[in-house]
Amino acid sequence: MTDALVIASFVVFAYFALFNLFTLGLLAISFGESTWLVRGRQPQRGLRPPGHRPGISVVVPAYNEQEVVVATVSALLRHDYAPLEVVVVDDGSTDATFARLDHAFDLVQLPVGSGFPLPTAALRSLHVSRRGRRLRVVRKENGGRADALNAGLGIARHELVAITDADSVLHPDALIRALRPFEEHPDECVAVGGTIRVANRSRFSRGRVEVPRIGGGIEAMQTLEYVRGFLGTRIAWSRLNGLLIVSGAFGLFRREALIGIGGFLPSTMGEDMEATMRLHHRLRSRWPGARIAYAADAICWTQAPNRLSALRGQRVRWQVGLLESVRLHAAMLGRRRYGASGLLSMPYLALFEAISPIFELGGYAIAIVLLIVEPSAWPWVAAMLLVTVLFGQLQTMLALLVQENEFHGYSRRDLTRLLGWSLLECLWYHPLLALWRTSGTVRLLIGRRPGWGKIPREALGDAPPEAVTPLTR
Amino acid sequence: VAGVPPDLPLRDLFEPLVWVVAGLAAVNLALFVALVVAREQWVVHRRLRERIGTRLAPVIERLLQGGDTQRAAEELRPVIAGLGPQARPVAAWLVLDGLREADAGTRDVVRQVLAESGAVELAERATRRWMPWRRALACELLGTIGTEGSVDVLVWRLRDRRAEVRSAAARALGMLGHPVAASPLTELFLRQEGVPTGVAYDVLSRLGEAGADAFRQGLESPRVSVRVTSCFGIAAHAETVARGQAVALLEQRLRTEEDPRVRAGAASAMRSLRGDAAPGALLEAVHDPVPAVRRSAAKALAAFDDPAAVAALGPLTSDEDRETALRAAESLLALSDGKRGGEPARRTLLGSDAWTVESARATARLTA
Repeated sequence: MTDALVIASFVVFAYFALFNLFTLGLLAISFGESTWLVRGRQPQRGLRPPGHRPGISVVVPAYNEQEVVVATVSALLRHDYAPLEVVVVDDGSTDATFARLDHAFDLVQLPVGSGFPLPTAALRSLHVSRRGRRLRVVRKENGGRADALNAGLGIARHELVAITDADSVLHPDALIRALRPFEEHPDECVAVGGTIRVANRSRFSRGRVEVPRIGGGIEAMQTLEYVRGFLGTRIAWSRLNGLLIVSGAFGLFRREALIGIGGFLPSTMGEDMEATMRLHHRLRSRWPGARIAYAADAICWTQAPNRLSALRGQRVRWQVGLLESVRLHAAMLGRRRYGASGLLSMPYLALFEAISPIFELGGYAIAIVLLIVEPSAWPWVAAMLLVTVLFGQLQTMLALLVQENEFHGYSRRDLTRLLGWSLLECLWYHPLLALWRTSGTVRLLIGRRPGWGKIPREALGDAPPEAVTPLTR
Repeated sequence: VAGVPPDLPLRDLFEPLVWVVAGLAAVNLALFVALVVAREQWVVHRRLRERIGTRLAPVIERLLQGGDTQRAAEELRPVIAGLGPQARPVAAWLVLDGLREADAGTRDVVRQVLAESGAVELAERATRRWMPWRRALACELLGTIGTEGSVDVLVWRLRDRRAEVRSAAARALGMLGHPVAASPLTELFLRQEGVPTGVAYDVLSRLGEAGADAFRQGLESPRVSVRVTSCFGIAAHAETVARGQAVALLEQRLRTEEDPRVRAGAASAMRSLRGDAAPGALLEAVHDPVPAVRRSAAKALAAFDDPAAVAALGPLTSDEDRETALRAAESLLALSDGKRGGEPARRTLLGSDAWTVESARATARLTA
């Protein structure tokens, strides 16, 4: 039995060594890219005059967001980019979300009209602010976030659509920075993802983060995760044109391309990842130059869960969304016609991201049983654990270096704090995440996820490039 | 190794594993040191910028106030001379950044002083640095403080091995606006190599007639993106000169082009060519089978105060494509203030029961 346990532990170890090496490769690319990004460049310098740049519609789905919606919309309206409009989609809120918007912005009703490009739950009414045409509010029956985004896509009027959350805050120059890839590659760029940063303890003033701060416990852990996930790997995936997720908290899309592929899928939990994968899946064969980029310096601040129960719910949803998306687009796996997204990022997601929690839990179980059965094997177990922990720490260090190259945002004290928490990560945070994510996988497999198996494949659109109006330049 | 039971399988792997642990620990330590160094370097750099900024602020203020520009610019000499060679380009950047609002004459005088202080020469030398981001930054700096002599240095950098350096060099050439840059940039634009199409467009648009020539050639390119960009380039150039020729070129593209993206691009670009006679091809484009082209045409027609544009837009307010219909209604509303198209547009709007017209009017009332 000891022999079998040792061999099993080595298999798990080899799996994680491979996973870590792959991720380290991505981090190395990201680090290389970030070291020579032009530091301190002001994006406004290169901006074209208003008549020669694409318009942006910011779509904000809101469901029971009465506490934050007015502040978020006010902050968005303060952006000095033009042409800009803000479309708030009240997704059947049962609280005072609409009433507060009405009170704050003096809304007037407009005809809803017909001919919406995407099917959604029934729209109740459309409103425009008397204080400026830049704000429009649409009220609809509740249909979920993806459905609300689809309604927003139908109402939005500009060529580019930025999606964000009602509880997120875009940095004042985030839109301009996310626009850069579109300006550079106007006929190829389809979507651009921004960087999401944890804002929990930060000091806000007039809708912007003045002093970024880092909390402790799960807040610090999530800050590390976001730094690794965004700055650590997405820069590399973007370089390889294999970015498979544009975060729903902040992403900029070509509206007609998104509509052309059928919009967001309401029946999936990870609608942002699924839509990004579908863009690759549906567009790359007919639009070989199409690219999905990542703008590391386009920042959106978000409130991360600060309680374990909220974090657990979020991670279960993310895991289910990930597995659903991989399942829906499994046809891309290993296919050359999809470029790096088919050959590298899809296999990475399927083989590592999706199933690593199961391996991780398995690894813990094997190690514990091995130590009980054969206590003298502890050096072996300790060495493997140490290698895994040090690999993880290496990733954290590289990601923090990328962050230092890019932002220099945190104080010395906060950076030290972050490093301290990173040393403790493997002791409690990682096992917890593995447990939650595995439970998400199990729930999906035993059919306890509502809606599973009813994904309308036939509804997936096929956007030919000629259906998309060229971006204004 | 001694602690591992002798009969344990894979025992031979234990020793290499220990070395891996040691190696990883060493790399982690090295990265920690690198992190601390990066942080401190940034702090030092920030302080340097603040120090230089404080010393330059009074001079910049005097330059912005006007008066004896030459005398104020001369005050820069001792300040810049007192800085180390690494700090001079930073100072030059700060000066010109602070003078963004100043008139062109003041900026030229200051640029001359900066060139004589050696800042430009240092920046030119920095375009050959090993680190790509330093080369890119030097190129960008030359775009702001460079002189005619910097053009050759920047043209050479268009062949840099890193795309971002090439883009920075191209943008800098656009800022300097010297026609010598047109030839290599045209070549890169037409081949879609080296510099992203959008960057080439920005730069060529700043080069006047030389840039317009590139766009004329681009209309015949086999590459769709180059043709689309050329449509916009032709129109942007025609905002100042050669409007008639631009209209003719875009009309020809609208009528003969097979790719709907180029047709839509040509229609969109015509929006810049305001006038009182809508181009015939644009009026025909409202019947295009591809919605993207109709959308572009519906929006562009608002720029032409012409009863023919009103007649073309009327039926479009009920187009099956929601966006086309909305844009047509908005264009009609925009035309209703015109001298020639105003009266027929008002009549069309009054006689319409399309929801798009109602929506556009309600929105316009709010703005009024």
